[in-house]
Amino acid sequence: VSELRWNPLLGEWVITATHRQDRTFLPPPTYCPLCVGEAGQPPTEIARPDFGLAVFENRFPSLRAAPPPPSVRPTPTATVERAIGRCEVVVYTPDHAATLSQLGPAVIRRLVQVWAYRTRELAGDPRVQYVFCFENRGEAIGVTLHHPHGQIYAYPYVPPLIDREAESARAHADRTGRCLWCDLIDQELADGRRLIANEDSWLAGVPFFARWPYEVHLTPRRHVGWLHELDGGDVDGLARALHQVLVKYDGLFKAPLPYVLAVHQRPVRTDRGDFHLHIELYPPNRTETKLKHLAGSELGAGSFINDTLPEQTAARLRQVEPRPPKGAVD
Amino acid sequence: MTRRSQPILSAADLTEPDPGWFEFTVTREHLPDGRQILYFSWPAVEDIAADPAEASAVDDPLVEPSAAWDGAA
Repeated sequence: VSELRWNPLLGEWVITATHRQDRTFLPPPTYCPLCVGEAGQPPTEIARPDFGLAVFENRFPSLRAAPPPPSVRPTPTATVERAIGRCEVVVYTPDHAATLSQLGPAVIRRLVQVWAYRTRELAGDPRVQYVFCFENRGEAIGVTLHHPHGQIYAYPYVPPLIDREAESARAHADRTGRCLWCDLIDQELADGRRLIANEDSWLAGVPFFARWPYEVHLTPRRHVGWLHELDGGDVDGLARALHQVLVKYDGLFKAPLPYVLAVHQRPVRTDRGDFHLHIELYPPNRTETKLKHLAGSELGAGSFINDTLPEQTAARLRQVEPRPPKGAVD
Repeated sequence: MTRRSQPILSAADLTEPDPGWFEFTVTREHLPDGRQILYFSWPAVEDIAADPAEASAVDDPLVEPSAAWDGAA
């Protein structure tokens, strides 16, 4: 069963996808479905050994191009729709043990190109309203496969967080005539206390309003809405800045730090230009051994409580030596 | 450089990529169950300076408030 159910209380869609209960869960390396398949071994998704990155349709998708009809009828207050869209898996490397930080800026630049390419192609489906590129890393986040990979979802609607950001950007632009993120860049440059990396074309820092202790946002200095609007220098700058952040993450507690990486591009069918491309990262750790759990205030009331000060966590990240953790590949 | 004077851009055209933006070759195949898989390959690895010292790492502005950014904005 896979369908979209409308939540009239929050004004947002919920995706039900019961088949995902049966998806592959933390297999041993021998049974990794993202490794290159070898003769005599269990079959995998990857048949060719000679690739840089690979993208395939998720075997257990929440959204698909030709979904089945909903399993229930709509209620008087809540509609139900087919779960139209796409769910893709992005394999970063044939190397099962690598991480994005270890793969380095050159591979990150390739990943950015693949994100942009898939965004454009998936947006070609007129039913798609938003393309979301992301990575879940670490078991604390809920990762079910350790092989380095990310995902791309093509939604038939603009997801709630993106929609709220777009609305905030619209309101700010209507009020001031300026881009909200461009103003945030000016603010952070003038202050400086929350910055982590300063490339020619990208800034990285803990936002003033961080919800997670080591949350980091990366923002291009130029006002662009989509990845493909970046020029070559911008892409290199993003690769360097993101690599710096990831290396600092892994150096923070001298161990691979779990995180969610979320690429926020402009909704694909908008006549508004105020949305500014950026990337957000949310590690769940508040210390080396303690996680920030979403509990009563966050889940029950939707109000985040951050147990740290962004100025202090940014300072701590700045002080992390820009060196991969012990045992990492240069 | 001030962003406050930058105009809000109109939405870009998603259907026309910039020439040369995508440097890779794509090979499209299908998995045994019909799902599509795309293999991306590049002609050669182009190194990008990974050393933050080369990539203008941020000094600690807590020590030098905003001084590190003189001229950057």
